Amino acid sequence: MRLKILVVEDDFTSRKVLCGMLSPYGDFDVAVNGKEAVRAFSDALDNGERYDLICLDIMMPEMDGQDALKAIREIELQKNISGSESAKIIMTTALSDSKNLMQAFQEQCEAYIIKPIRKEKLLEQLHLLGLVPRG
Amino acid sequence: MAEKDNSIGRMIESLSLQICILEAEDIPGMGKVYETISELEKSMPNSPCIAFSDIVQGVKQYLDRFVLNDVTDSKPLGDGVAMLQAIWRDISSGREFTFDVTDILEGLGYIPEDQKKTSGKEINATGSMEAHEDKPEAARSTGLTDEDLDITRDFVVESRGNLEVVELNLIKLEQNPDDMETINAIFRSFHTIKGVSGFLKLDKMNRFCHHTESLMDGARSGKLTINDEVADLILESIDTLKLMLEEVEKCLETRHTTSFDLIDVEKLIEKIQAVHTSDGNKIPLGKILLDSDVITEKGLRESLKIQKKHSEKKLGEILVREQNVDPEAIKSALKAQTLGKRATSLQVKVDTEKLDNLVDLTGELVIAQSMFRQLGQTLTADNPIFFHQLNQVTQAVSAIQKIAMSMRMVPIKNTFQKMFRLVRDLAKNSEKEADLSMSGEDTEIDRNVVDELYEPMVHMIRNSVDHGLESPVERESSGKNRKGSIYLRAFQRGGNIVIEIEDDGKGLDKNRILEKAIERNLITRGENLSEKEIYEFIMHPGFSTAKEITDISGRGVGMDVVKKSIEKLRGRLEIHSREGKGTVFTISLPLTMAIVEGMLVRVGKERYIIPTHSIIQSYRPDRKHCYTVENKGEMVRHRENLLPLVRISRLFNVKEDVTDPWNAIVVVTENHGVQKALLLDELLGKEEFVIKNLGETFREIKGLAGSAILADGKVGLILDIAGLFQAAVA
Repeated sequence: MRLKILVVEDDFTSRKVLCGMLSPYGDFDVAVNGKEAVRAFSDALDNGERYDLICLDIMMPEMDGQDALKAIREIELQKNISGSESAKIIMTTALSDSKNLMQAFQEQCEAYIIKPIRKEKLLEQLHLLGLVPRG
Repeated sequence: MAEKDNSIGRMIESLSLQICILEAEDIPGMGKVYETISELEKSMPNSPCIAFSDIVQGVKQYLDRFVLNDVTDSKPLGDGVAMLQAIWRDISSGREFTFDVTDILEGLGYIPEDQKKTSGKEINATGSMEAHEDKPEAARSTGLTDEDLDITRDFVVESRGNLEVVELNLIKLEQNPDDMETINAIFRSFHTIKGVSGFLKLDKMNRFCHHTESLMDGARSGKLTINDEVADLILESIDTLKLMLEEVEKCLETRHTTSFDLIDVEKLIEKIQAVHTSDGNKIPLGKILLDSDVITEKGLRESLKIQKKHSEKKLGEILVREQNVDPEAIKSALKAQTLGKRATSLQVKVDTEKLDNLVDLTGELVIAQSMFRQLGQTLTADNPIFFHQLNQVTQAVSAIQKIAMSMRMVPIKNTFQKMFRLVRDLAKNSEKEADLSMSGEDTEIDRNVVDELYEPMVHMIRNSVDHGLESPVERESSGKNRKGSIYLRAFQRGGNIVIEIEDDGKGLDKNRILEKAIERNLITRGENLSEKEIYEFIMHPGFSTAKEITDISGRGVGMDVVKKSIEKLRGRLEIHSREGKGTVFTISLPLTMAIVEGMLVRVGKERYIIPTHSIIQSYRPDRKHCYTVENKGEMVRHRENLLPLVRISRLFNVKEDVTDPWNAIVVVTENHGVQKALLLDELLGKEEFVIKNLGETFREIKGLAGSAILADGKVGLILDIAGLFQAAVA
């Protein structure tokens, strides 16, 4: 089964790299800031679809990844989506400070990968989240 | 052990040598390698670490393929054995093994047991898509970068805070088990710890948190109720996580990640998983309601049909709306459902003999420890370090003792519940109506006592229904409810377990008891007796006031048997009764059968132990307060009363040091409201004694309850006050 993925990333190169790594496993939509991400997420829900995976950058214009994460979880809570139903969100960011890291987990991200992103690392997380078989 | 270690070391050495010279198609050589590795496996039934056994397995499997010519490269074998050497070096020098063996295992094509089920087809992970260089693999597993260090430090602090919040939230949940917000908050805390620990490669912690998280997820989705058992598990998990955090903090200084080798999480994980799965076994709500006659089977079937169509609705809701069921009844049934679950808490069956042995040995440990203390006092009277250490031992020993004792305790619930049926049957037989209610079923009681208690309780309940309760007609005419009530209560009072059996029947008929006593020549007419003394008669052998003998009681066996069996348990039986209102039988039992708190006293060269619960006072009487009364012997004045003086020396035929009471010590003891003064030479102190029984030969000696080994290793005899009083009269 191919995954439905949302890549949220404002930097062109990073986006390209990420999409390249993920392309064997699924199809993706792209958003370039938090606001777009939240809209894409709720639109999908309204259409009866769900993202299996959301890769979320933190430093972005308009709305940053932390706020987007919060907003997405808020929507899920309102719609009573929890447990395995909820979207798997991986933070993909250059920010490696503990404050951002803690906050992201506190807001219920599933994983936190610090750029530069290595394929191995990403795949390991996908595997841990049960999205792809172990590689 | 050292010899065995050496031989293992040698085996690994020769293995490495054999592999060095191994070539493809060298079948005898392979045979040798295979032999050695099997031998190695056999000589270490308990592998020192997972990495070690994984590699051994990997080497074995690779060898199989090598033999079949599936693979021709012997390098992975050499690498594997080299790693084995490294691990073994570390282990035998007592160091912790910290290397990453995944590469080696990968080379061997071996997938460890715990990852097997998730492994699918191989995906080439080292593709060309790598965006940038990452720091080398080794740095991650053996040391931490400054950045990791910072994060780890924050993680420890933050997680501690998180765990504290979880504890608080748990308390909140106890009051309101369905509060989603609180459940969510707990879930989030565990999720955060899980996530960050995963990020920091604290794998064991991550794995453990994963289980607690999914436990909470179960609660969040309503599949699991947070009952006491689950709450206990969560608390236990918090403690474990705290330990882990401590470990992480320690390792911060050395910049190493920790593998938490000393912290065992597997058992807890198993428990968590058990709770997770056991929840499916909860008794269906419908069945509970059906059993308690709240709904009819037809009504239930209809409601279930409705539920099938509207799966989002709860059965309880439908029942209330469609079948007019009282919401309160649903509530209590839901509660019963949770209670039923609690009964399935994790337990291990242990042979009672083992338990008794444990308690016995703990007793010995207590004694040995106090002997040690005494020895210490004579050898090194003022060495603070010695006594400091000894105090620690004492603390540990007394904790062990408490646990050992508590393991023998079981709730009295089972015994109590058997009485429901009994009361029902008895009432039916005697054409009476009776209701049994109980409280304190969770009170714990020594398992040996519970078994002994069943029969006396049956006797007493029979008495209550048969003699105590009146017929419905009689009850109505005296203005009582047609249905009689029997109450069973259990509670702890002081050092005793108290069990009360109360009925609201007609009470004991004092005059009838007196008549009967006179008839049986137990007393002569005109003797003045207290209420208590009169009631005591019904515990006299062969005494029955029942006008006619019924099927179940009134044959004159009963209360005397009850009394005897309770006294055998070192308990007391008291009767309170009010005519026309009812009777209460009160059984008080010592908390445990294995230990007695007592006063150690000396008479001549012998030492005796007087159970503290029967001691009223000890003092040295004035000469003018000692009398010799005709027909009654020696007496001493204690406050306003004259008490008979019992010379222990005479009873047990030992030589006392002091013969005059005013130079010796008098201990006033009480049994069944009777007080007597015991004369002895010296008080030696109050202590707890582990009771050892006297064995068959001495069982019949009156006045002795058992023996105890004293601190100096000699034996002291424990006095049985009831028996002593009887012996003193005779």
